[in-house]
Amino acid sequence: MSTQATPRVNTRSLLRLARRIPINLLLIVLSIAMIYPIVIIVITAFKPNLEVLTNPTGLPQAPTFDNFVTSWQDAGFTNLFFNSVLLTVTSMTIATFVAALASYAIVRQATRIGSGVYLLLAAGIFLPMQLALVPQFRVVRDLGLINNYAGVILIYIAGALPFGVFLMAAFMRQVPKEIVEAAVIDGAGYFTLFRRIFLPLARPAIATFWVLQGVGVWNDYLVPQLLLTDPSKRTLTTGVLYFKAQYLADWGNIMAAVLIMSLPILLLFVFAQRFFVSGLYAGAVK
Amino acid sequence: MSSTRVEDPRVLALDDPTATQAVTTRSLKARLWTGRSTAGRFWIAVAPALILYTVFTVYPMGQVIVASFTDARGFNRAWEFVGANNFVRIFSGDPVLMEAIGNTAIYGFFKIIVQTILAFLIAVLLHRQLRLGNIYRAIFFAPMVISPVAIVFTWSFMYDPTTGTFNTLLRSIGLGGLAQDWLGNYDLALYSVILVDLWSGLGFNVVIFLAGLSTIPGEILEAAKVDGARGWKAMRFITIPLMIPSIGLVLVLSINGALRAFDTVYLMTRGGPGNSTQLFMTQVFQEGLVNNNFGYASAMAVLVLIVLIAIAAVQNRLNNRVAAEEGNR
Repeated sequence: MSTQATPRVNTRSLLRLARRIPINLLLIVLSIAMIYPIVIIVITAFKPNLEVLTNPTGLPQAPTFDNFVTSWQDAGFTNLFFNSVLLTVTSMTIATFVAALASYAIVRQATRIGSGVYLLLAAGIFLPMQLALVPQFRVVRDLGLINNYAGVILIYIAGALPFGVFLMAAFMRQVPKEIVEAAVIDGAGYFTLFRRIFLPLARPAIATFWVLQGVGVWNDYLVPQLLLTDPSKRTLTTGVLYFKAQYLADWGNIMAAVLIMSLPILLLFVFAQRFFVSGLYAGAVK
Repeated sequence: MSSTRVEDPRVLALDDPTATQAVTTRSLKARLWTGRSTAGRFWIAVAPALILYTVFTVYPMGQVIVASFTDARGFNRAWEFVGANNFVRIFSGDPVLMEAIGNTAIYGFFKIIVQTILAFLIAVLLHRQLRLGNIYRAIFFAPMVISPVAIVFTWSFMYDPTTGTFNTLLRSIGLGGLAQDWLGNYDLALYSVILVDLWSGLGFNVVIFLAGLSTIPGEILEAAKVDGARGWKAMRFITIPLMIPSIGLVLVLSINGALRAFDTVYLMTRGGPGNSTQLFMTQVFQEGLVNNNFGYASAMAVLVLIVLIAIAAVQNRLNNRVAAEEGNR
């Protein structure tokens, strides 16, 4: 790249480096502003409650793990993590299969009916579903699924489908027709073709789908707040909301809880950054 | 192929297997994509998606649209049609709603104009940062994946008037007089909330701008440099014009986001103090779920829906243009 210089133009590259200093200074200042809230979470989580009040901005003088122990036990994080993982993985897995199968059928059905079904499903991307929460609640109640994971999972699947179909259909349309024709001549059935060719080829779209929709499901609090009132069925988000309601201004404990709930997804993000970012971009453009 | 045997297809089939294959392939191709041979399986394959989508999305959304013409009051079912009364009430100027719309306009200005400019600037600075690029990027993008619940608790702590980070910092540098009740001050609360959403939303726009910048061929900028266009000139005449599709996309997504903004306000202030941080969507939620005016809230929702659909149409056109331009390159 441009900064790689041969020894001959060393002075020039040094000049270039010098010109980069103000840019880096500006970036450092902006980065500090951006990372500051996260730093605050971490340092507060390690402070005893008294120190949070006397020294809210400095580094902890006597770092302690007590907050983490208290928060983990009182908020029941073992259970919360289990519930959140269960809800996210179940709904995303089912949504992936349902959306992929529908996308495949739509792509194979190059007719008016096919594109009609596609438009109907994809239009759902633009619906602000917070608005439909009351009728959704009624549907789930009528199905007898209040306080049942199935109710939340079904709502998440339905909510994720439009975007999933949109992404995966766009991807599956790029599967060369010759491959399909050759496979059909070789005797591959309708669903075999889906399982053997289309599903594996749609893997990048599925990854994007998990990044964008999966993070949304993991971080959602409205649906479980409305549909899961049983304390043992709380998720990370609703569990921490409840924890905050009890601990009010006990910021050391609250920040420990915030850190515990955010750490897995932050670590996942940092280690799979490239993957996340390309997924986000693909989703935004599509 | 000899002309004497053409009358008998079986002979042809026996003698020239490639010919039959060509015939079957052609008819197969004709049938394969028109769905005549697969119509039944098509419906089986789309059934799970269609059923779930109809029950949990289309039907509830339909109920919202129907309810917008009724006096429905929440979770019970008794309601009567009231014609366009709800819409009349909206347009005759419900004072709380007007305040919410005003707040949404201010919120929108920051999210659409300020955030876009800031994100563009950061993207330009980050572009071609090789050594520290990944660290900077991780820092700018990380807030995107943090849950609104965690974000709101963190900022509530930082905004706390007595032990909060902002006031403590101000006091420690001798500016204690500037200390504020960031979320309790009627004139300030909206801006405090906006800052939180700028912080959490910035990264996403930077992602889009960085992707846009990476599609600008280096040769164009090199050629411009030879012609004497550097720095601001290159930015003004080359980078910005080539970034128009990305800028358009970010603007459309920001308008969409501003209209749908909900989480931070709902969790942080519930629209308060007074209605000073009430946004359009939180007001819809307040009317529908808290005040139990489901019919009226539905009418407000339907209006947003119309605007969102119009924006989606614009976005669709923009995307097509971006795709077309990418195809040209």
